[in-house]
Amino acid sequence: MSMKVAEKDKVISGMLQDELRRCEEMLDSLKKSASKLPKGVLSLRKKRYKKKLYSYYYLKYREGKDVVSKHISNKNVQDIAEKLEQRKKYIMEIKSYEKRIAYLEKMLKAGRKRVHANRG
Amino acid sequence: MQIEVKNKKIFPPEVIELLKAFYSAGFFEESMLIGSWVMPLYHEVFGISYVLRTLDIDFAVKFASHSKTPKADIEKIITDLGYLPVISQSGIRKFTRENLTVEFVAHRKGGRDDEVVSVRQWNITAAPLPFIDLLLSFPFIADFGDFKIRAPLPEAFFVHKLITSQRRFGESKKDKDLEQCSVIAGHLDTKRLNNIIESAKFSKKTQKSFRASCETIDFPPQKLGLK
Repeated sequence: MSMKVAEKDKVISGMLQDELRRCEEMLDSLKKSASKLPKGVLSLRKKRYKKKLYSYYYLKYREGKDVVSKHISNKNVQDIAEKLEQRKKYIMEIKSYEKRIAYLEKMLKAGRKRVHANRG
Repeated sequence: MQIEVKNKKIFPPEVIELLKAFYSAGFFEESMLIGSWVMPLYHEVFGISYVLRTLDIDFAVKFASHSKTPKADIEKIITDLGYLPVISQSGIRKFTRENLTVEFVAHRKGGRDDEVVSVRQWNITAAPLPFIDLLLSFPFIADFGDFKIRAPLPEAFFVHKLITSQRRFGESKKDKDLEQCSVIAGHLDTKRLNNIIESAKFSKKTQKSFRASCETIDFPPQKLGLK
């Protein structure tokens, strides 16, 4: 009932491939989730007008080559700030998956090389 | 069957954190940990050694489709731990943190082909899979002292894998399933195995799956009541 070494190698390689597929799917889902959230930096801008000091929030982000500044009303500031924070978490998780995908690809490549060397 | 687990370090801290949170919510009163993450438990409790694991943690959730009374908000519990919700291509809500993915599965009744099951009692969605009831019906409780988790008996896990491995689309998952079976096969309790086999009437298609899997891992099909 025990498995041979070649079969074990096959299982490990298969498991790595499955893990790679899982990570790629997760990466795709994470990117979709992140794309639904606002990007950029929320800043407070102050402006003096007729001896009065006004302050308002704006969201600054890049769109292609342009830098866009979008006014954010006071009632939406909290919501936007939370979403920006959430997006940061998604971006961090995306990087973590990208790193793992690169590692798994390297492992699989090394495994393939070993198989070719053994055959040769 | 409740078994005290002496070694508390069989799971990494991030998994312990998750299991404790689920236990506190009462999730393990009926639902259970499944998949390759039961292997550290099997090693500790039953002496079954299998070290390969992926970073997805699966839970089988027991639910009654007619019951809408909320039990606990599992989504909130997981996201409070820092996990991020994502929707998979099939529409299932999964959770991830530092590459660790939490997923839920539920029993799929025959004749149904839903891709997602909404489990309102726990505020989660689950992937419906066949024969999950087989796992849920034959559990054991691992008692870690400050928390307990429910998991399928190795014999139930074994029988379940013998069937489902033959339904896998990918060869690699099938190989992994059968390798797990071949490791568990040497540690089976005959009485418990018989109880599981006698609990259900398996179709001819399922019996065929049994035979094919038994042949691959060199396990006598007679032990499953097959001629």
